[in-house]
Amino acid sequence: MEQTNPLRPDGESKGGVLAHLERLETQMSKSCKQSEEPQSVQAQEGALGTKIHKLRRLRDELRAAVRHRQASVKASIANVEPNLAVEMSEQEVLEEKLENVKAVLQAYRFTGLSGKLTSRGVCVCISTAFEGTLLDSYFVDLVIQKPLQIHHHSVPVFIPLEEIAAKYLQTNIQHFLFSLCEYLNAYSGRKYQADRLQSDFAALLTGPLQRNPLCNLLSFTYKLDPGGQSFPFCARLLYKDLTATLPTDVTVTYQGVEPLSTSWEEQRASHETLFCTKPLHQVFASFARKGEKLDMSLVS
Amino acid sequence: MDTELAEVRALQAEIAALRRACEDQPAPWEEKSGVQKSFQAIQQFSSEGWKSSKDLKSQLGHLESELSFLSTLTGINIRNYSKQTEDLTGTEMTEKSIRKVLQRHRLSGNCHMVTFQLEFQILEIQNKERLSSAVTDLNIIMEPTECSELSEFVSRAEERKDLFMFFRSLHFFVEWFEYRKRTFEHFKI
Repeated sequence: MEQTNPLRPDGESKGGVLAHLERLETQMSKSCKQSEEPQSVQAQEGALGTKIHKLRRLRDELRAAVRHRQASVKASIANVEPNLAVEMSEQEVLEEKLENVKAVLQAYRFTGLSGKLTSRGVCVCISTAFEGTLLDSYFVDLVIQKPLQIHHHSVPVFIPLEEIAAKYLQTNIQHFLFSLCEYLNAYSGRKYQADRLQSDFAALLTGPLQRNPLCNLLSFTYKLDPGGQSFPFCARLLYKDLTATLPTDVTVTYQGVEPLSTSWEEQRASHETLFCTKPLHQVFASFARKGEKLDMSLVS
Repeated sequence: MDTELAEVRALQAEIAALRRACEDQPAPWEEKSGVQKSFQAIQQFSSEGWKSSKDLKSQLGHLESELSFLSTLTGINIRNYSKQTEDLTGTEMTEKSIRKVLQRHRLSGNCHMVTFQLEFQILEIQNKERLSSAVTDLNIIMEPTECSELSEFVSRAEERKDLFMFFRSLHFFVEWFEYRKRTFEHFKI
């Protein structure tokens, strides 16, 4: 890169700016001397206004001059020391890259698996969700050595972590983590459904919801018409498959003395099917909607 | 008149500072040796930034290896990610200690020869008892577009707003596809 003469033709215009500034300043000092002479208040105020105006102009010109110089210095460096300029922008490139990498690392939590490298190995974070609702995260801190070890973790004790580790950890970390993901997501999902049932549909339950920590065995009694005369149904949901969020065994029984009428029997059977095929809280949402429809028909 | 006098003083002070700044900076048209100029240039631009360039490089290296690990682990290579946040809390909500925030996320990347672009929204509602986070919108664009099995789980994921299911299925699908390809290659004569 050839070196250009620092005294570029542009220098003239800059000399022009400097000269212009000098003229402004001379004007300023003249008007300053003028304002020192005794004057009427009105005249003084008028002079003050003009002085402010001139000062502002001078300040703006100086600001522009400083900016202009900064830009020129940068440009002249590129001419005189091209490597320096390159290194400056190299830093900007590095900073931008760093920001991008940090952002992408953040984004990995949306895949369900993310993590950080540690001094000992890696700490993996498993995110869980159920049908779009984001739920708890769990971590597993792995120590990279032979054999691979779990240093510590936040996996609940009723999740078969040791079993899964025994099967896959030493041979295939990916498989180990994917499998653990399955169990944790399923547990999270079951827990979420049970929580929603308790919080949103307590009105339809006639007794407390019974559940185990793993949330794979649920038992509850419910009524479609809370104020009505019918007997409650008793439901028992068993989730044998710990990687599933829908039950494998459902029994709905009737808690009355007299045998059920045909229509009620049909309802009982349909409920069993519903609990097997739809998430728990969604089944109850449909019960609540039907109940509303029933009320509406009574009113009209 | 007092305020005007104050403004005069402020302007004069600023002008004095600006004049000093003009004097400190070397005018490029002034005669100075190349070495001196570059030395001053180093002083001018953030010198701390220049020294920490080495730190930046090592930091970048560390994070890039983290990225490489995650990419291998998940089978997914994310290239770009950006997010915008919008506070939807109304005055009524603030009174009841409820906070509502809408996040707009955009990410893109690839899984082997399949490229994806996701745009999704997450609505966060914080009340006294808990914080709830839910995906309220999910749009997935895939390339290639002709593969029916791919489109199938993509639309299912979009329907259920299930991000994790999408990424896991994508990984397994591509793995299976690669395996099938290798098997067929093996039998070619």
